Amino acid sequence: MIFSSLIYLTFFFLLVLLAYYLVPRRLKNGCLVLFSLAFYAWGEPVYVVLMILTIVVDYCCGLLIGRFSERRGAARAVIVGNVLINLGLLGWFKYAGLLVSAFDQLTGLSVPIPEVALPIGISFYTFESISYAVDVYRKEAPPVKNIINFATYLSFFPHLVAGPIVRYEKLQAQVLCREETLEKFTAGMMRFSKGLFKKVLLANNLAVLAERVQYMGNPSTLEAWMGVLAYTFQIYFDFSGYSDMAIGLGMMFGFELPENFDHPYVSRSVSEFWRRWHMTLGGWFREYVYIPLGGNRKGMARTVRNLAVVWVLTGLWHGASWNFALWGAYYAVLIICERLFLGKLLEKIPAFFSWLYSFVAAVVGWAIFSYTDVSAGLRVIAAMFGFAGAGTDSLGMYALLTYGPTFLIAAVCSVPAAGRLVERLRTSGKVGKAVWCAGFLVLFALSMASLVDNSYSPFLYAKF
Amino acid sequence: MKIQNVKEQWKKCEPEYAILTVLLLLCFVFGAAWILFAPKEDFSEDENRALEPAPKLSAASLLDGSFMESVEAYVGDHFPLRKEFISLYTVSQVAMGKRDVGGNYSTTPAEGGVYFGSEGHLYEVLLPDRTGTFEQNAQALANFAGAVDVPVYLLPAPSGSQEQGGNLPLFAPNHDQREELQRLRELAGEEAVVVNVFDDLASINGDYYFKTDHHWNTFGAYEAYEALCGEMGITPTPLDAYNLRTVTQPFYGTLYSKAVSFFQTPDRMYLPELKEEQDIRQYVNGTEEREGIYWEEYLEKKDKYSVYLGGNRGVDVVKNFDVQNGRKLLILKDSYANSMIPYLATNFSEIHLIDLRYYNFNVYDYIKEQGITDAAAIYSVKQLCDVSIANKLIVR
Repeated sequence: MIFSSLIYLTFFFLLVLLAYYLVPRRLKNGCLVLFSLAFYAWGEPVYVVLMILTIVVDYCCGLLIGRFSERRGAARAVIVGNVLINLGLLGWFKYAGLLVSAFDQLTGLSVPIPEVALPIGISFYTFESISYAVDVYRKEAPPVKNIINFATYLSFFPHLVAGPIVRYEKLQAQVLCREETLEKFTAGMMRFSKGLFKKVLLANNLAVLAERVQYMGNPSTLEAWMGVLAYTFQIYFDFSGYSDMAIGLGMMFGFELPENFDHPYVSRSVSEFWRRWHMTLGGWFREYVYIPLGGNRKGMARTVRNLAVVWVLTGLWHGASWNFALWGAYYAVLIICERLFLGKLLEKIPAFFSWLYSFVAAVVGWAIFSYTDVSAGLRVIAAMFGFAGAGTDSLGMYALLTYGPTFLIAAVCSVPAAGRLVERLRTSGKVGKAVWCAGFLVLFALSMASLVDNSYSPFLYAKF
Repeated sequence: MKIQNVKEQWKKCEPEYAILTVLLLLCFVFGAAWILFAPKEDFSEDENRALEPAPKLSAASLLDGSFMESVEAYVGDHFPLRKEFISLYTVSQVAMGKRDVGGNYSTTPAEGGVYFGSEGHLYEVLLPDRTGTFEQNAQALANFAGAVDVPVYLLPAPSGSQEQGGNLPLFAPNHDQREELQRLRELAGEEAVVVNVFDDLASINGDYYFKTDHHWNTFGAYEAYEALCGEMGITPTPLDAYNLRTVTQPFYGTLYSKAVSFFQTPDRMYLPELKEEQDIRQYVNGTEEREGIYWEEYLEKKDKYSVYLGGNRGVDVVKNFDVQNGRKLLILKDSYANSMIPYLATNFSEIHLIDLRYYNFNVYDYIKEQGITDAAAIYSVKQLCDVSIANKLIVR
């Protein structure tokens, strides 16, 4: 199930809220687990078993690691086993196809490529499982005694399928003890709505243009920019909108989930972009891969290697296809360059140019990211910089004309000043409040209209 | 939280947050109640499809996820104020500068949606075929022409947006269907005559398409009829041999269904009726006899184009007992052909209409059994790009 759907809004949402606030305190976590599993099973009626299995295995491993707190060797064996199980599951469900086809290509053999469907959210909850085991192993957090509490951490539906990736150490106290207040509840509802608007009104709209440009293929320079820019804003509003919805929902149940996006497109370096983009994923890789590899404390050569490893893995995490690895490697190169010399240069040049560099770097990155076919992606990048295709064409001009206002709104909404202005309007007396409320309701009505329109599918073939 | 705390907590909230939260939750409650308890419609005329029936729960439907899909479809199909929301969506899109709606490029075949053209015209967004369907269909039609002993005429019908490009929004990209015309000519070679109606239907000569429907209108159908007769060496019945009856207003066609809005002006539809009546009968499915070929009941419904022959089915035979030339025309067709039948019926003793999408017998046997003398394939280019008929034409 996704949050931006009619079934979620009109049924699941109301039911889970009602149940959660009606049951007594000691049953609240159990209630959340039940609804979270139902939420998951809605989209994955079979793989929910895998989810439950992951919960049980990780729970037991946590207990064992706690039991072996004085015997580091045994604890280490458990954690290695646990990480291997988790990565093994992720590897099988997500990367088996890619690895086998690569193996076939390299060796010329024809091992049949396994066809496994990717369980929703596996990339997210696997990382959270690993964070639990490692945090317990490092004694940064105690193991959970009650499996329901552990299941609450791992399966909590707001962050289950698309993050934020919450480290166990950050959430454990809230699982055991938290306070629900009307203040948090109403603010959470607002945050949820903001995410809904981003997803439905901006991301879904821009997606049509991005897909159209991809469908047509071989774009002109203008068309390539239109398509990739549409994708640039689509993925930001899609993903950050989802995170807003998750954080807002968390608040409605008394939780405080970590922020995940902080206006990445105002960054003035690629390194800064990654401190503002999908922050919880970056944090996870820093905590559990980069620092354990030695981070930046063991000389420049090791630092460069560690950065390269982290970024290629980050790329591959986004999908089992080589364009994602290339995308990660692309960022590895940029970030290593910034670490070596570019960073100092960027601080000296006027802010506009360092912003332009970072933004164009992100846009080019999305071109690699959005084309599964690497050569098609590279052709589009060539077209963007005038090395392929014509200067303009009708779709390019048409997109500029018909999507101009949408792009403008998207750009404005992606800078921090927009949020501040809206906030100032809301807190500027009665008229401002009224305008703000009216605006909110209009956006809500338009979002509902868009969701209903999704369900509308004229079946006209019978008449053709 | 305790009840006595609620009042205290309420004061701590931002008042507008609290009001809006309550309002939104009430909206969702209303939506849920409506879907659960309001009376349901089973058919959507606008979409021309049955709406999702109440979901049935079973272990199997739960495990394979079909129950969940059914629930989601049910909620979408029976949502309160559905049509109003959809119109609101269209209006908001146009207000934001969009000049097309309904596109979905992630489906196969991709759906281009509808352009808002000038003069209240809606047009299909034409896309190049990326599925190879057109190539297969064109090859199959060429093979058909080579395999039968009667003369074969292929008439690809261009879409309104192909013919009236001047009415499209500024810079609107559109696929050129002449590419398909050209390809069909190459494949057909000497085996069939390809009837070119692209120039006849161009907008400089008049408006040959409905404003809100993807079909050609009565005049467009007549132009195509004239062109076909020209290639067949038949003298066409002149248009002034007919009275043009205006049918019940308002008419909103299939393109409107893809772009539902408050602002669309209704369309007009005319039915040609011979001034000197002839004894024309339709044999539904080849057997069930009807007077004439107009199904008046459809004029009271949304789907008015089905007034011609009552829509599409596997086989229909139209006989004109006042034409004694013994010529029997077979037409492989989609619905574009239906509005040509009032004209063609004046030139042939029998017309056999086969819609391959619904026909599951051997066309080659049919031609022999019925003593067919001429064959035509009348298809919209867009249909040939979207739906495969190739497997129904395999030469056996």
